[in-house]
Amino acid sequence: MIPQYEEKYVFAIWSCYAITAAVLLLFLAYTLWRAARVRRELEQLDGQRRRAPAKPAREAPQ
Amino acid sequence: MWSFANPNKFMRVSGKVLPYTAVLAVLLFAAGLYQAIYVVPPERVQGDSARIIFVHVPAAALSIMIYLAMCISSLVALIWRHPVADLSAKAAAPVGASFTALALVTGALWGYPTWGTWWVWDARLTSELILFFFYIGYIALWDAFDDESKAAPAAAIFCLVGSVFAVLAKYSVELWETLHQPPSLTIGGEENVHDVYHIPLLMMMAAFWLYFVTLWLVRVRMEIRSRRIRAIRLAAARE
Repeated sequence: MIPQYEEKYVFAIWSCYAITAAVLLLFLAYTLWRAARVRRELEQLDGQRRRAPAKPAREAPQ
Repeated sequence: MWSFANPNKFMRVSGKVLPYTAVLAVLLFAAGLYQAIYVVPPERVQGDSARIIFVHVPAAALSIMIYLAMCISSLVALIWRHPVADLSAKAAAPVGASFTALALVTGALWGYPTWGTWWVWDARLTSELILFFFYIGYIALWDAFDDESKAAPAAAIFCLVGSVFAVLAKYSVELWETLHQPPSLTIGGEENVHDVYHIPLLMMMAAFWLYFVTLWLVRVRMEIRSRRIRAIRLAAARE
């Protein structure tokens, strides 16, 4: 159900709401996508570090 | 606040808070938009165009508030070397920039049918535009340095310089005679909107604020993880 507004204001009202919704939703989607990518990258690096063979500890100087 | 200087503690607490802010933001957006689109009557002078207030005012108010919050974070980072403070300001900047852009665009779209022009160089509009440039400059400054430890103080000082325009954007309509109307919402002062508009406007303000908090938490968490990735890579390169 689309409400009926005064003809001369229709473009301004709907463009404001459409632009705001588009910006907020796209920005949210982009941020979540980037955050998920960074999280996966960190998990991969942590996994690689855990799988890597432990290096022998250096001997303390006498 | 100082306990959150520990990134691990910040990650733990923010992980618990995030779902609540996200759900509350969605609920408030739904309730506020329903009121704004279907319930509130046309305004006496501006008619239906006054419905734009529900997206324009929250975006404009938050564009100023976020910048001032970034200034406080920058000051804390500069003085006390709080390890999350500079990331906090960095994470808030793109959200603040998008709100400022929204305030400028929705303001122009509202201005044309009511003022008869998309743009005038009055104090409120001009200071808001300069604030937008400061947001862009701040984001660009972080990206301009390879070394984060050099980028952080430079960006913090730049942010503090821009605070003049955030304050100017806030008080310009009170200091000068402008085409722009006086503030719609004031704390403890006279309200310039009718009660019918007041509650939905507060709902939309809260929704925008919670949207910002949600995104800010996600972005600070992302920045903390990015910093860990850089530290791991640096350690691997040294071995």
